[in-house]
Amino acid sequence: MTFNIQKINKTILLLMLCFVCLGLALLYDAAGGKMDPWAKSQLIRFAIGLGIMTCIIITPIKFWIKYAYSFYFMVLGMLSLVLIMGHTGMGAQRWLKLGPIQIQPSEMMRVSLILALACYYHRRTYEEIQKISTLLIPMLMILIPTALVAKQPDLGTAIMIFLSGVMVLFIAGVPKRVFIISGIGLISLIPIAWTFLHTYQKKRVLTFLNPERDPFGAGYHIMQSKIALGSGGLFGKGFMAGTQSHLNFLPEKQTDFIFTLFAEEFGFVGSILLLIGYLVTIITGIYLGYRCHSIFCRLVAIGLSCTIFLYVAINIAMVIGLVPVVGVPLPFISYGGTAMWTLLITVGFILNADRNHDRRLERYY
Amino acid sequence: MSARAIESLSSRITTLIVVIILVFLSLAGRLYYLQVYKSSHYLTLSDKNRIQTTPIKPERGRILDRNGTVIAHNQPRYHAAFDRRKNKNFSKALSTIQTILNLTEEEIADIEKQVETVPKYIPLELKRNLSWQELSTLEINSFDIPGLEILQSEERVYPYGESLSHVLGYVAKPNQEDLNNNILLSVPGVVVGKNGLEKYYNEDLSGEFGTLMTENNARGQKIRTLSKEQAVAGEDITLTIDLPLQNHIYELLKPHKSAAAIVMDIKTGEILALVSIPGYDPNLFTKGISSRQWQSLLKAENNPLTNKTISGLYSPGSLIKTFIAYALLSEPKVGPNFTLGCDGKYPVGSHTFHCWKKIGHGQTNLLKALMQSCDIFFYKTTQLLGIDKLITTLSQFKMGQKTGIDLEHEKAGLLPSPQWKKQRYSQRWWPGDTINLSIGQGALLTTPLQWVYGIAKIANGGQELQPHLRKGAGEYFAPPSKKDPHLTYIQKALDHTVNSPGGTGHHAKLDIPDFHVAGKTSTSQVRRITMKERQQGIRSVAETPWHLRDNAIFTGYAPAQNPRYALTLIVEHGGWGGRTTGPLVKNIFQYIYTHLYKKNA
Repeated sequence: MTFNIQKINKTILLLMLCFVCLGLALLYDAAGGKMDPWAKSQLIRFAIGLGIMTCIIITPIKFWIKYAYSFYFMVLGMLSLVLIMGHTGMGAQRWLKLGPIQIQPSEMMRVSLILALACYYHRRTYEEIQKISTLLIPMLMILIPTALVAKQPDLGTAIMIFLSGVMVLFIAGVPKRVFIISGIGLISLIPIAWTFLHTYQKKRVLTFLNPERDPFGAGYHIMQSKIALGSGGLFGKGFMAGTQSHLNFLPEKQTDFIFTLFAEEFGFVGSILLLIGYLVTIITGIYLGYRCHSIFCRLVAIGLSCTIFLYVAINIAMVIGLVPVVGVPLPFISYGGTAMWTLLITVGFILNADRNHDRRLERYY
Repeated sequence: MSARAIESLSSRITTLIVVIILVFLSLAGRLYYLQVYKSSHYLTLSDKNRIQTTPIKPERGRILDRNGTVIAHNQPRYHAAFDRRKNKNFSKALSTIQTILNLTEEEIADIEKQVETVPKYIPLELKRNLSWQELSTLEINSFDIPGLEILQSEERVYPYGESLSHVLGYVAKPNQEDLNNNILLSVPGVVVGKNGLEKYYNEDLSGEFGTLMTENNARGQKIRTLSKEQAVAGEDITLTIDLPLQNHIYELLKPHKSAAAIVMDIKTGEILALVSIPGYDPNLFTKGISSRQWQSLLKAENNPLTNKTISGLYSPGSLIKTFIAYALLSEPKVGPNFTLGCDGKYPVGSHTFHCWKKIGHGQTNLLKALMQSCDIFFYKTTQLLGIDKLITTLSQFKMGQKTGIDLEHEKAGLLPSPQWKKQRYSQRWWPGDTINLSIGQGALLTTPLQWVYGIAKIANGGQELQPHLRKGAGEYFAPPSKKDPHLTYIQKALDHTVNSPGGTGHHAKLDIPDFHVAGKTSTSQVRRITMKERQQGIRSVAETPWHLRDNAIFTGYAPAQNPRYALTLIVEHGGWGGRTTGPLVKNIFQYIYTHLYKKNA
């Protein structure tokens, strides 16, 4: 099939571009009105990412169905490698160095897991999916990388991998009782696990759940973040006029806490507009998935839209003190190469799935 | 796609979107609360960020012995500190403070380093442990220098310094690595455990920092306290150590230049005494040890900083025979009734191995071989046994393995094996290597803790053990359900070694009817007597210089009838095992009998 640019969805592309521009403006802002050190390199990364995204969009969808598993196992292998190399102290645990390129396999796992799960369910009938036994392999596919990433330890990414996998299972049609029962099971396990912990471990968990117990570590960030956000008020202090962020009270203002900088300067109105922008992006993604004829395309588009949702929800909930600080970036806006590329890859797959939305794809290639 | 599937998909997607919208609504709600409802509150706070959060130092937990005697506690002290949030011009203030406190160049350099690394919410530490003179001068001047503060904190005190030095370790000012892990440790007066139990249980002992949140005016003066979260004091830790016994053994062994001893409850793995000679004064470290003192400790003879019970690596010598006997008893080719003749010599290839007794022991069975420590018997029987079975048994007794005691710097040692030799030296394993191993010499390296573990396992009938120093820290295991006849046999032999005529341990014989000592002596070579020396008539290492003399070792337990306490003792370069250690062993067990055994009975 020839590539037809008319078939590319413009809404998502346009919104994405808006986010990236906003991100660049905020990075310029965070550096005190300079392109260095963040905005310029982010722009370069975005350009490279656009190239990767284009490659993903124009690759025939058959190719991705055929190699979804291989891709998954490759990333899984890299994850294990990171753990092993980390243990022998040959480098930071999250990163894998391949020549001059550093990659973070845990980020790539978010995408490859969804592709693999989509491929798995693509090859099952509705009746097969209703059986509990069909669930065994997908559960392993989710839990193994989750455990590996949690062991790094990168709890934020582990939770995201787990949740996005579960969301794919939900859309794929796994019986609802499975979710209800395992949800209840997980919750009832917590008190039992609690009794096995040492006193100091309990203290750590409590601090983790409530960072304000630790006002000089994570709690310090949260408190400063809340002051910055709150002082922004309804309309904000204006672009480049955020006092808290610029007085260096705010840590990590260019990465995970960039939303604070934005909210301080653009106020409640700005925050809500940004939230609406994300909501439109996510729901458009889900809609694109919904109208797909093949299970693979549908699950890829919806699953990946859900990961964008998880990014946004966890990041914002984190900076406004609703959940513990776990290190999840704000999509398209936070400074950081791997996150930017992963998101562009994500969008690439959504758009590829969408341009094949009216095709009925074979189960095996 | 079936109709049911389509219907299911629509309903699920609806659910998903509803969830997503609900999450976004709650985010929006929270944002409304922060940015609209509470906006003026946060606007006030953001006004030059007038809210100050100051950490409150927790008190370090104490350490107690098994009877509740305090063996490490804190004593109030005062520190001079400087809060940079209250006075922006620190460098000017420093020159005034420098003259008041007589700060040295070194101290000034340290303060300047703090200025760069310590965040503003933590006061700078100017000087620790102020004298009364310094304190009063500072009190008078503190009004003129805003930011200057006198803080109370504690200094660690070890009332039984040297005796417990290797058990407790010591605390000291946090170093750069500690600070990288937790910058709060730069709060003035904070100490961290650097060795021994202070380090192993540092986390539990340290407690948690509290927080004082105050609202200040533009000059940095406090207007009011917003909130105060008290610091959580560190836990008190109770040890299994019996302080009187520990002190007794320390005083007893102190005249020997270099020695170590452990007393352990053979049923629970609780360590009652753990002594390494020489000790050092841990109080030196709390006060901030000078580099001259540190250097002299490092260079001091007999390594006072090394805990010899867990980090001292020794050839065990003949005490290894106790454990080898267990392998021999289960070996069909040997067994309890095997007898051979010992004529003092055993030629293997071109080399002749000797028994410690020149004329030999004559007809010898395992019982006699253990009692009189016949080398030839073990040379020959281990050849029959084979190296693999020998290694398996020695591993069961944890020779060359860590026991997992709750102390830092435990060493494993080395249990040589054919695989090890091949890897290390690319050489094959010779019969001579097995022969060396059979009398606890050669490449074999073990710690006194491993010996006491091994002997306790023999004394308690094979029950598993976890040696530990903190009460309740070790796992407790059930005793084996039935008696192991081989262990009973070894117990009998160890009883005879001490209590029967001709046994090598008769020096340790204790004349208390219900409290007999059982055990094995050992004289482990520091250096082999060369063939040349042998020809010159030097047979005993006692005739060589002190640092080349043999280590004298005893490992045993009491009461022999119903074992309870295991004891391991090594006197470095103490010469002949039985003679040197015998009186010491007797003395220690006598003490245990009067002060522990009879009291508990």
